[in-house]
Amino acid sequence: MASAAGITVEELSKTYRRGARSALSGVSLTVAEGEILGLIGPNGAGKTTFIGCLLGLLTPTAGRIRIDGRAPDDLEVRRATGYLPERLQFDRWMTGRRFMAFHHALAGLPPARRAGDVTAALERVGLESERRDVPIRKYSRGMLQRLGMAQALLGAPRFLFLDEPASGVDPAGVLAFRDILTELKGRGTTVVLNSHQLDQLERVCDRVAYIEAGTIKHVEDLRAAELGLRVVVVRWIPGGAAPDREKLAAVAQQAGAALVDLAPDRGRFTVESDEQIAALLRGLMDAGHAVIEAAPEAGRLEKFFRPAGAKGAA
Amino acid sequence: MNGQAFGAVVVATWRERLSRPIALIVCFLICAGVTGSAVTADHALQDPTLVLGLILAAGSVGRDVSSGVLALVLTRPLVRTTYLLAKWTAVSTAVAALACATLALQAILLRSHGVDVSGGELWRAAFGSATAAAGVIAVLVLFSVLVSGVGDIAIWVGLNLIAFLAQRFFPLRVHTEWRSFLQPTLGWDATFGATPISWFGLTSYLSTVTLCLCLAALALNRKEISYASG
Repeated sequence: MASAAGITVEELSKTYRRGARSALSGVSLTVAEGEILGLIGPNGAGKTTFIGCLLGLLTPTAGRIRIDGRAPDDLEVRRATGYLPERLQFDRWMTGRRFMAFHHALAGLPPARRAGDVTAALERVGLESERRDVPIRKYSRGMLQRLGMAQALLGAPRFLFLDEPASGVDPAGVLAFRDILTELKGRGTTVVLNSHQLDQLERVCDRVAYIEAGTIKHVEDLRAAELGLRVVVVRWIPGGAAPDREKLAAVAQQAGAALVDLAPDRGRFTVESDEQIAALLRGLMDAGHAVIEAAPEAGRLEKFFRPAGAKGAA
Repeated sequence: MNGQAFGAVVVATWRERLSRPIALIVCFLICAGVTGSAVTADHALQDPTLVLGLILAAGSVGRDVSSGVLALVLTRPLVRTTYLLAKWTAVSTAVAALACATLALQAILLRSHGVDVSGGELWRAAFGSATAAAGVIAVLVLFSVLVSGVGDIAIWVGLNLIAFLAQRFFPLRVHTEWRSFLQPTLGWDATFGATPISWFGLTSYLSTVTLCLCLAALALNRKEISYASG
């Protein structure tokens, strides 16, 4: 059970059409204060319904949600919450700055701080100053996402719900958003992040929940201390002859690792600890390989979307 | 009640309702037509409130629901009833202001054409217009909570049509009652001009408006807002 300061979901179920269609079934989850939780899963898995329930916009059929020990539609929770929808909806007359001012007022933040807060939030997400007084209907998709992120950050929320935040955003924006998430994590903000961008999730999330058919099939812990068996890719400068597979397997075994795949310029090894990686690299260099890079293999989350991997995870 | 949020929704609704060119043009044409008729044909003040209300109130809540705007707004520390009352206040005051401005223009033009329109007459017409605006907008807000988009207007027109047909084919008084529910209004003369005051008219009007707003609040509080709408 998580502390009252985080998010607790107990046996959450949600059905539509008077029980004819089940969207969520017995979902239980805790998100600790300051944790970044990613949500992944195929389309129609129930992620949208899950976030709708967390935001208090949908009423669970069964189960309980507590945010900071309170119901999600409690006004105190709403004061501490920021939300970025996948597609920002807006009134057509609004400019970016007016939209921000509107949400600043809705959030009940002090009017005296409005202009400064709005400008600071827009600058933080990198929305150019000359675009801030343009009607939002003229914004590109990436600009809308930046504006949406800016409004979600108003009032320094302690809980942030982000739905595909980097969708349609240019690479600079993606990096900026990642920096913002890192900064928020440092400040102890609890973030629930729904995204299909697996590589981004791997970079910023502490844990990732894989949802399928309305249930959480697996929660992948991405924090280094929690890592078990993992794959490391080691690259070296290829020599004249192809590397000897048996020799490399022996080197790996001596380090406590295991060789998985071999190519002329790289090898994939499974390891269980940082010490094993260090021993493996030492062994490879002693064996005459000019090692130039060793990195954890990306794509830990991809396994959920490969048929065999998903089954295995469940 | 979060007064700051209430004010923000009122102002945003005014801007949203009064920044739609087509709606504004139609409103202008209606006001101009009613004024022209009042000055050249009837030689008396004519109230455009009902038609203005139908145009400016269409989908006051339902459009926010179907577009997805409401989902984001309701994640803020804003009680749904506050949002609802802010919408009602904003549309009612906008309709009443336009209607009263039209009545004032009519009074000026009628006087210039030699028709005597007293200040008291103008006041009574403005009072009727303001109460009619508050009344019909309360009914439309209720319908707007129940259906998305501009379905509220379809319900209102449909119910009026049923009342009309009921009156045609059945000798029932229900038509009058039905109509006073769909178009609650409070005439100054009929209510306060009588001796004693028409308490029945007053309570009938206030109870209809209150009932509509309470039902709307109840429905909105029970409504699930689609997080992915739009």
